[in-house]
Amino acid sequence: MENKIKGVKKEIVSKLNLVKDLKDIEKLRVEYLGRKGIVTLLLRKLGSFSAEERPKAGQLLNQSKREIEELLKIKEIEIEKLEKEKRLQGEGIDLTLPGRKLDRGTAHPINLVLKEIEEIFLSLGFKIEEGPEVELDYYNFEALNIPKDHPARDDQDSFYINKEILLRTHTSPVEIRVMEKQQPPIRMITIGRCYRRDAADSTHAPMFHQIEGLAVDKDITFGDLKGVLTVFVHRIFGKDRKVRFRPAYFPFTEPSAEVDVSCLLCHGRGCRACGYTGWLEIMGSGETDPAVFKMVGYDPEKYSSFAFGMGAERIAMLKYGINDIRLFFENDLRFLKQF
Amino acid sequence: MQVSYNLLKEYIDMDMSPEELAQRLTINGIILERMENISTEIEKVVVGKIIAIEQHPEKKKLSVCQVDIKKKILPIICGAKNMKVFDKVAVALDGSKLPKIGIIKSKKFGGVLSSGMLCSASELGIEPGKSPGILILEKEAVLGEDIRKMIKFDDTIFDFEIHSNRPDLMSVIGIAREIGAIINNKLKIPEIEIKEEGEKIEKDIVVKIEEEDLCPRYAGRVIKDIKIEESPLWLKWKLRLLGARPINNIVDITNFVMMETGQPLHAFDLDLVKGKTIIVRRSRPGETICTLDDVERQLPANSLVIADTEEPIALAGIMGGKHSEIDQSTKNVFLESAYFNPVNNRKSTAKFSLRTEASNRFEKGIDKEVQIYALDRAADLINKVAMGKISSGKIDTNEKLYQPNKINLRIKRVSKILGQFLDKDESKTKNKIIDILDKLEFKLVKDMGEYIEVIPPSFRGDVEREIDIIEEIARIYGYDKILPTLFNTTIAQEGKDFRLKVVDQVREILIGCGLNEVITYSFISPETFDKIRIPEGHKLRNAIKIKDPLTRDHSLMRTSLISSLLEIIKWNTNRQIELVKIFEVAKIYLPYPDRSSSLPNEKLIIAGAINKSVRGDVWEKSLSLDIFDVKGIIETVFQGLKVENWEVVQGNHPAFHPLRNGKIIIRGEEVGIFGEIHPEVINNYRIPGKVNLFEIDFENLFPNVPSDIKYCVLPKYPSVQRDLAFIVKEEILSADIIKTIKLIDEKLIKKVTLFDIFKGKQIGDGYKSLAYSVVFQAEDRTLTDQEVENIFRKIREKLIVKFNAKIRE
Ligand SMILES: [Zn+2]
Repeated sequence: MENKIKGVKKEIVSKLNLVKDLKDIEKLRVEYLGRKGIVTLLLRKLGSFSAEERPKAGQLLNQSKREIEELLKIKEIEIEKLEKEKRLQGEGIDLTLPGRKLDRGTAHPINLVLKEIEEIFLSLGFKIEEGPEVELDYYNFEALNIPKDHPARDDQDSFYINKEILLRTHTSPVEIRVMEKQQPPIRMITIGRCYRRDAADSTHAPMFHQIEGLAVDKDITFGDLKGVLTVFVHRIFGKDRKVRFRPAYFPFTEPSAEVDVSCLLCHGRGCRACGYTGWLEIMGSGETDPAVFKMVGYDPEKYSSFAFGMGAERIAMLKYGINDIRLFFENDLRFLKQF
Repeated sequence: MQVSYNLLKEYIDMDMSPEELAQRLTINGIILERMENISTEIEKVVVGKIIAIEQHPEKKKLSVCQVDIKKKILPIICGAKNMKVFDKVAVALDGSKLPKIGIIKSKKFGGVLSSGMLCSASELGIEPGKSPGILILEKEAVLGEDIRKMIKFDDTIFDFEIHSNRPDLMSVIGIAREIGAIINNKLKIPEIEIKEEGEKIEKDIVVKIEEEDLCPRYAGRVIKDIKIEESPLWLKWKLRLLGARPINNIVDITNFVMMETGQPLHAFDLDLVKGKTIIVRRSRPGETICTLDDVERQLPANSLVIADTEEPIALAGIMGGKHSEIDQSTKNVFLESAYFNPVNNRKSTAKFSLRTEASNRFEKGIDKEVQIYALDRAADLINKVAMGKISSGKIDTNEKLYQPNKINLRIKRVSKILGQFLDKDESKTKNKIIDILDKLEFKLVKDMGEYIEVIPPSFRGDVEREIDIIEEIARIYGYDKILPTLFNTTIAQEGKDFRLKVVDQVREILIGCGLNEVITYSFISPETFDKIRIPEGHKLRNAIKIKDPLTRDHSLMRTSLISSLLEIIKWNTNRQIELVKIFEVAKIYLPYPDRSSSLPNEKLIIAGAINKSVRGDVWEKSLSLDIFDVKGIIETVFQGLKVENWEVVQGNHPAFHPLRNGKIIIRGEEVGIFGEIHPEVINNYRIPGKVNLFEIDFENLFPNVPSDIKYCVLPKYPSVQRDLAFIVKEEILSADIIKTIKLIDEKLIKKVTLFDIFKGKQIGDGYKSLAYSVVFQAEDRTLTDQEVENIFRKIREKLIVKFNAKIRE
């Protein structure tokens, strides 16, 4: 009996090796474990065994039946796995087909830069203010200590609507409007379109964007101006940039300073971009002139302040290496999609 | 202001290199715009004298000159015509070197040997471009001397940008003086010796000032028996370094002294001043003048002129007249050195649109004390260079024009403005301040302890107040020495208000929708309105006009963004970009019709446009962009902003297709428009394909944007969904159907969605089949089938009654 069972087991192992698919396994299962299967028949024969032999043979037979079931199961899983793999092999696709993307748009590079600048000043406690683009001559010039016939008006050739109204040439009038309606302390920036009567060429456009800032308080100093603008330059152009403050002249600030950053291309060694000076001019700044305070009714003895202004196009051109300002307004998608 | 390194060294001792000098001046506020090393290699060029000129035997255009170079006489062939026998000339010898030409060798021309070359000014680098003839040297030039002994060819030219508040720096002396203040060295001012001889000036000229306000000081001298010639080489060279072209010795001297001292001068031919009288007056109606630039000018009434007894002979402080010009026949001159009112001068230059070196200085305000120095300096030079005899005496209508201005400077104020003391030792700050002011030639009048009384020098008319002095102190002390600090106080404020945050959010959503942001000019052309079919009299045609636009295309402020976006689509489709999806967030400018003097209403507009002209990639092929894409974008924006209760009604904007043209209404107010651009408009812009476009008025939208979010409890009981299909007439609007369904049971009907729409033969002409899914849900219980069925039945009945719907089973 024992030998017979061993023979059956051996037989089934060798048959299993020849199995090709799940049907073959099912056939084997019927052949051995089915109602008329070899093992089932053997189990039925147990009755013919003696009482002593019966438990041992029964145990042996049942154990063998379990083992055979196990073997069949293992093979079945193996075959199933192979079949699944085979099926997946048939489901190949061309992965180089384009993705079905949602095709995100892009922000305009000028707004990208403005946003970055805005974030820096917001983090320093500045507030954002707005003002009109079509502005009174008074706010654009006169209140900024630029009376009619002042030579500084030459540098800002303007588009006039009538004698008293023009397209603002800078964002500075917003400062005046804010100071007129509130008392210090003030810490504000303003951003927007400005207009000058410049024919478009690679460095000029009749419309451009300016960012202007103002801080008024009891003890604002020239040192604060340097500190805040140094932080700004480091954040926008990188910590390793050198910053230089150079005396300048603006009718609405005194002392005035032009802010230079070490050339982004040659790192200060001198190249064509920086006119071989190693420096790039990026903004104007200064402490607000007492004459301006007088116009808005602030006491220059009590308060001091600094202001600064820069062109977004210039900053964007330096940051992204763009050499023609007209690209910003042509809005060629091949340009816009790079940002 | 152009000046050279060697020229500056004549006025100030310094041991900096040109590069260092430029650097130092730049950080002190005199910005270097251009620097050019003009060092040239000139070798073996000597002074020679022409002793004979003959025509070349073969070549008619050439002359053969015999030139004495002291050691020997050389035959030199020359093509120029301007030389005469006994002229002194610059001779490039055999083997000599010239800057642009290189090595000069003896050479035969048509059988005659030329042992060198006679040089022109441009060949020596004295004039830019190409000089018309050879350079004639002054008689005093030493025969045989190397030309390099006469002028220093090795030099560096600087072009400085001068701020408009510093007219004192528009002169060699001014810049040298500033260098002196920076490096603490004394200025060397050329000494003058005036040799007066002959008659008194009053015999030859009388000056009458009719407009003292406009001409508060007028000085002059008479110089007689002058010889008009070309300037000597040294003077020509100086003018070259200063960027001026030589004309003749008298004009050259007045130009040079102007650039040296900052005081514009003018020389009149004395014999052509009628009535021996100079009158400074306003022009009279109908008067004209022909100026030195050969332009006959109508004088607007009340322009300040210099006149003789008959007519204007110069535009005061701007340009002289042709009639009294210095020329070869001039014998006697009247030299003018005046101070003209800067504001009036500015107005005049604007009126004539004529800006000259002189007016550029007068209009900014020159030194009120330099008139006599400049006058005498020029007279002295004319005496030396042109042999003129200076008549005795001079005219000066106002010696006391300059009134010193005393300013109090509080020592503590300096530190308060700058944020620090100028010296670690606080007590030394004052000494340091006084020291800086002394370098700048400010006079210390009194030391009052807490403050000092100072007087700025006459050439610093820009310094009027305490703050101006503080700036000067900071400048010379060095901005780089002031330590950067950050505010020592904080102020709490909302950085960005809700409105601006919503604008940002809209931009983000539109970018998320796949649109590329554009920025276009705020200007439009008057033709725009026709191009986008805006009829005459339409309110959009009421645009702000720019008085003096650069071009007609930029002459109006836009009242809509439609044309700007169409232009951008055109630009891109012209460049083979087939799929264009763009948006812009920008202002329009609407005048108040009843108040022309007030500022316009500036409204923020969000506009977007999409166009697809050709198939894109494999997926885009199935993408057909139409009006529902722009409507979808608007819906996405509203969804993002949580704007609800908006509805769409038929619009009537003329730029759109008459039937594919919607208006968005919120609470009865128009918030935006969208639609398919009218085919005529598309044709006007020559854009391929269709364009769908939207414009949202942000000012009207914004009040409908909720500023905060209220959470609603999630439903506890399941929802039930039922579908319903029916046929109705084509003109019945989906929005009306949905509204009607919802009204059946506002509490239990949660959502109605159109999920299918179908037109076809089976349905019948003029009809459409619509399929909706309706979701039912109660907040307090699970709905029974019976309840849902009851409502559903009511919906069907209502649709049949109201829309004559044929329910499909
Ligand atoms: Zn560089």
